[in-house]
Amino acid sequence: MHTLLKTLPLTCVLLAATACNPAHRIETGGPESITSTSQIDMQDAQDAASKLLQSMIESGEFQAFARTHGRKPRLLFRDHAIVNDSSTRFQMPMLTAPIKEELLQSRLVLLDSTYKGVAGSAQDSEAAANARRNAIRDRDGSSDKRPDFSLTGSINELTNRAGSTRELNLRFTMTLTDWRESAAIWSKSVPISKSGDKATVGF
Amino acid sequence: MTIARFMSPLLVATMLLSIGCGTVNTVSTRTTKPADTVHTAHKGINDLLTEIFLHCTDVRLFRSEPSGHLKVQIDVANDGFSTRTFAWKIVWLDAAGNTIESITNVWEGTSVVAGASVTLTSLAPRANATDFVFQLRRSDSF
Repeated sequence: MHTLLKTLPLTCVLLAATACNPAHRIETGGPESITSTSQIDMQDAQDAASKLLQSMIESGEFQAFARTHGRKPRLLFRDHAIVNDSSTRFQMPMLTAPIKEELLQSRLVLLDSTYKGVAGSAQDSEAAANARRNAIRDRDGSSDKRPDFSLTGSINELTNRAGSTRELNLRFTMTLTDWRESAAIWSKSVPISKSGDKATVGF
Repeated sequence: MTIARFMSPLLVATMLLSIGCGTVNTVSTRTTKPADTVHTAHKGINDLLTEIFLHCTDVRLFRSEPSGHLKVQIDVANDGFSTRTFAWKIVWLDAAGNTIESITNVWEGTSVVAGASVTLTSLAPRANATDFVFQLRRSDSF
């Protein structure tokens, strides 16, 4: 009996150690990711990016421009052009970086990194300075590299509660504007809704 | 008496079973199958979905206009009496059968309420995609 009492704390510690979940690597946004109803999760950003990109490609606007003008369109896609109106502190490249990467890999557009715009700051200042030197040297306007399209967007949320159950409704919206027409030519809104009383691992 | 004792539980069981097998309540004006229905994919996907008590009612593979990219639509029906949650992913393949790396290759969580159906949709990220692989994962909270 005395031995049993002496080994009891050790047994408890061992049991506690085996019950915990040690840190391990998981597939990004995969089935082992955490789903919560209090904030935007990685799965939400991936899901939204995938659907927005598919809709953008399906619209055929970039392909139509290339057929008409004989070149790929220049797209201005800045992270701060997506306004986060949700309560989640969200690093915008989590949403925009995969879309930019996919647009470049698909060879549908050229992403503009030298246009200064109203903010007066280009994404790549060295490349912007080089582009300006080329424009001054050529003088014929052939180095005018203004964007043909720009992307803007927003992230909005609506929450609700019934007892201990919390519901989070998110809406990721993006709009493509044609600079020649000065009008929006494509827009897509992706709704994502989650409900539950506590965060969980999985979908 | 013996037959009656046997028949009563059987009758009750039959009634319960008939209640348990709900049907998906949908109305369609289509009288014939769409021309782009993919029968082989339909059977394969249905085998997967049956394992989680769902079933595939149709698979359509077509070129989406004006982009010209392939697009797949998979109709999934839930004949049961509880909401089914699952994760699915569609991976597109090129003509050589190699995987096309894309941000669209992500797991997507979907719920189908009892007696309802959903359409899973995916657009090929590249114009050179010729085929796809459908992956299904049962949710832990299922």
